[in-house]
Amino acid sequence: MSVRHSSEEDVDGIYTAVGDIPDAPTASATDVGTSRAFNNGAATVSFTAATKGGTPTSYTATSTPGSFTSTGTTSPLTITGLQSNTAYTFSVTGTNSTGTSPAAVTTGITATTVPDTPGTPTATVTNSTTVSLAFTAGATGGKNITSYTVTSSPSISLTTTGTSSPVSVSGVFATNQGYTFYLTAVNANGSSTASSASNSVTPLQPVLYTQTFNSNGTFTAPNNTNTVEVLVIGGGGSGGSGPLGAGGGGGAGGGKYSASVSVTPNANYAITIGSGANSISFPCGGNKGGASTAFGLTGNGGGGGGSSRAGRNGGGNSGGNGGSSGGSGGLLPPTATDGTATYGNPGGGYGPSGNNQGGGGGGGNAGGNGGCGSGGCGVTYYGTTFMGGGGAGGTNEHGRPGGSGGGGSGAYSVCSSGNGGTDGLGGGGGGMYGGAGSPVSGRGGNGAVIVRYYA
Amino acid sequence: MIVYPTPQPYPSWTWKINEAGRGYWDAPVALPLDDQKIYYWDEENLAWKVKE
Repeated sequence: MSVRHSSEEDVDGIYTAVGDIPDAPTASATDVGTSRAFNNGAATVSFTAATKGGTPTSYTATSTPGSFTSTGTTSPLTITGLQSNTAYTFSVTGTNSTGTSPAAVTTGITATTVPDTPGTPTATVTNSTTVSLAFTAGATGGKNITSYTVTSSPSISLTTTGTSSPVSVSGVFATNQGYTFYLTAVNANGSSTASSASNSVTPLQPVLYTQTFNSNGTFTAPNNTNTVEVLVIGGGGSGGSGPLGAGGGGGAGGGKYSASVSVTPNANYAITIGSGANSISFPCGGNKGGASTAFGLTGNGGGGGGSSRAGRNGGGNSGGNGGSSGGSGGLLPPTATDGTATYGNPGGGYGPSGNNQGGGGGGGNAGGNGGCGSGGCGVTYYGTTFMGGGGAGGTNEHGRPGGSGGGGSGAYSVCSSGNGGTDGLGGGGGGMYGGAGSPVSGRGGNGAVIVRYYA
Repeated sequence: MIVYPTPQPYPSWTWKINEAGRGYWDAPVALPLDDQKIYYWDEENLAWKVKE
């Protein structure tokens, strides 16, 4: 290319003062890469002015392809907007008032950036501490993806394993807390923008715990529990005693139930267990069992069994009627919907030989049947029958005084009466445990409190 | 279609009706009643376990 310089002579030997166009500079280019956003790469174009020609007042670098340009007065020039992982060359020209120099063209470079944004991850729970994230990888940005980082909402410390889909993330997740996850891809230039949020998963599902109290104690609410399910069972009544006939079995302890009681995390709650009524050895009705209390709920004690002796009433505040009508027992199991406990059905009825037979203590669900019938069934929660039924009715040989009173059925039994008494002694009422009836009237079983909660 | 009032706690638990006519989720194994111990259900081994 021919460029006129001020020192050159015209063909006719006359020197003419003319403007001097710059000669072409020399130029080179390098990829910036680091921290450049995806598809917004950059190149640094360095140049050196030619030793001849006019002095440029500015330089312009232009990319091929794309025609991205940058203009300035000093080296280097930075050209931005380059597409990721794309090869470019750059032409550099110098310009002054006279004109623009020929272009110097750099050798090619490949523009690199951080990776493209990963696709929205799909979260799957592996176990209570690990979640798997499947996703569609984005473009590399021109440099290999070396890792992925994961953040969560709510935010916790996570460890990520894997350099391709799916990756695993591990952490200490909160109980019953849903989490969504965000992915970023990492290469030597830096991190991509975060993906959209994954679906929500709950890695640590709450565990259902059950604590049973057979004696007085304290329940401590876990630090992540706000409600508990409670069943409160009173102590069973003791059996009645009748010298000329059988005593009735004691009634089962009453129950109170609530599906949801509010508690304060880490707070302590007193649990009081009602004792079963003590046995008796003289002809009268049995005693009422003690009440159990917890969380403001009270399970009343079961009534005492009736005495078979005519004219003697059953013992206890809610004990059964004596004589031939048998004892009415304790409280019905809760109806569950409202937790209401109500008095049970009448206890055992007439014995087979009339008024010398003590009836069974009522209570439980159905109350005891008279005579040699069986006691009522308890109520089943959580796979276990907690409340014993009423005691079985007394039995007696026809025409012979005395007989055996029925025992109350225990908590562990399912519709089975406890040990029967002998010689006119009623069996104990069902509380947690059915009481035996011999040699004195049966003692009522102790009450219980069952607390169930998720934590 | 049966609509249960509470979620099924574990896959192995079944819906039953107790003697009071109320429904409940029943575990395959009866809950132990040891005083004041805290139990949880191990679905993998179908057993109650004591919380440590």
